[in-house]
Amino acid sequence: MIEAHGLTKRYGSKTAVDGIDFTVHPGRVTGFLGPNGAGKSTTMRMIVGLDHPTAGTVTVQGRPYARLRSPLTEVGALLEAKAVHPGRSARGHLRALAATHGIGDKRVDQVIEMAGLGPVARKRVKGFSLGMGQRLGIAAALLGDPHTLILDEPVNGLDPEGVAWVRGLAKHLAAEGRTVFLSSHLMSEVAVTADDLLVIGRGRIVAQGPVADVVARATSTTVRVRSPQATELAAALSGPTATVEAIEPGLLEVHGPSAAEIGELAAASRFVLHELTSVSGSLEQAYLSLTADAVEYHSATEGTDPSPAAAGAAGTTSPEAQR
Amino acid sequence: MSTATTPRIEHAHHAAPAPAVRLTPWHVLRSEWIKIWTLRSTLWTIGLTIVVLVLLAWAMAASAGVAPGQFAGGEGSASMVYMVLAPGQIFGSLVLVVLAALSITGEYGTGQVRSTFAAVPSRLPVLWAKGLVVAVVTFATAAVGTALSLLLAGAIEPAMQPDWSDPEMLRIVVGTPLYIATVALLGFALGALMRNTAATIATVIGFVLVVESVLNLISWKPLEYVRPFLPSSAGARVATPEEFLDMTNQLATQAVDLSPWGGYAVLVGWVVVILGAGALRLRTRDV
Repeated sequence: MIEAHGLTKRYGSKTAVDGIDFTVHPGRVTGFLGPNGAGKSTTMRMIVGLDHPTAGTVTVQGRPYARLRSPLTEVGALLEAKAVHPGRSARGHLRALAATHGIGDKRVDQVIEMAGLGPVARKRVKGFSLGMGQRLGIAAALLGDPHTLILDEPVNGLDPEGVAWVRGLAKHLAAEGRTVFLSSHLMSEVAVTADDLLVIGRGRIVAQGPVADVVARATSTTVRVRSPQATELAAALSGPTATVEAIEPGLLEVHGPSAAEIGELAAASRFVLHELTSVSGSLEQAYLSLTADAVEYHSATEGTDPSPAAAGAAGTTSPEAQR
Repeated sequence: MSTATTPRIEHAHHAAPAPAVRLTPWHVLRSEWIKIWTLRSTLWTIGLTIVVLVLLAWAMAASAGVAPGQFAGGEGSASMVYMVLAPGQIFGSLVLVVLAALSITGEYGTGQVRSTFAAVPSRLPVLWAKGLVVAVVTFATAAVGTALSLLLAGAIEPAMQPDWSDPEMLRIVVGTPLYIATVALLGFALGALMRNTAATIATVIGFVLVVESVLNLISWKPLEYVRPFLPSSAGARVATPEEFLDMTNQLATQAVDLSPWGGYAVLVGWVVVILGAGALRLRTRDV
């Protein structure tokens, strides 16, 4: 169980995390979702005491992390790939970490096997790929067989087998009653693993709850209606609870009423319908709409793209001259 | 979930650690001990230090054979032994200061520190354990280098065989590794405060090599009150015979004439103050 109350982190005038409250429950996988720079990593670093909150508190099992008697058996954390001295071997790194809690070499060799690091365990971390570094970080998080697992972007750089392993591991550990908290900036990744969602944007929690609820609240169902009497139907449907959009002649998109309500209204008014389809929002749409106002780093839009390709398409004119 | 991944996941369940698993200062010390020996650079630095210490002693002993009359004091006296060890005192402290500083700045430079402090969130036990490990390793290295230097020098030039009944000679032999290890700890303390390898090494070596030497050369009166308290110059007194201390005092006058152990206490004072500042910063700052 992880609980945050009014958790705030400011760096100078910039607020990275803005008074957030949340609870991460045991026995479930909780996905921590947000765009780059939304405050996910800062929040996770505050949970394990690496960053001090400017205000508010965060506790694990009811205690601040720094007060835990045996931090590694309470919480295993993967905070970023390669929080490791590159001159040490994977096994040397894990042995040194394990030693802080008197965890023996037997457990070290177990987590090496679990993470599939056997063949490279005695090689220096310097030469590790991103995926191998990630496996080492996860192995380190598992050392203490912890009650709570915190994984920041765990599937980053992993091969498909590794991704499947992390997903299976998260679900398995949650099924054992442990707390699993993993972050991602990809909705599709979180959706297949998580039971609960915590969505953060610009340092604020914009949604939390079971995955299905969050998605349902964030997406409005649209009904697509095709009718030869589209104009008349649109007039009949329009009202305070419905918005109607004419996509093309004879095709409407209706927000508000359900497909059943539209069908009944059409039958009562004797309109002919050629199509009546409910279009549910996708996960990505839900995520985009939740964080639309909260994206820290917008991609450049096409119109202002100063890339050579754009310049090339415009012939001899330079991008500056186009403005 | 593929069948290939299933068996590995089930290990997690059966591998519950023993109940004795707990964070203790003793365990942290053990962790730091493992850390220093799992880096190749440690072995390289220690080997290099010992080899160069012995080579310098060999050079001193060999040149003594050419002109035996130039040395003050009798056979095996403090001054005789000091002649053998003096070059090594400078070289040994400069090399081991790098090892000591890297042991902590390397953690910050590589990101290792986040793994370390996530495992030991109270942080300070790491600083004490690391400092202790660095002290033991640098002292042992300097002590072995010093012992081998004396053996070799004595074998080459019998007049340089230590006279163990002379308490001052004994002070030089013990003081040499003590001085080297304490200068290394000064580098460790500065590293804890500055958290940056280049800045730390530049500061400590720049201060010892350049600033202290320059201050000892300038004959400006008020500097008499500064000179006794320069960390390295003061600390070196514990590894310098009285005869040579008198010579230094004539070259660069000092307002306070510190005893050998008094000078060493000044160096220790610097280490304690800087380490204290580093500890304060460690507790309050993010990593």
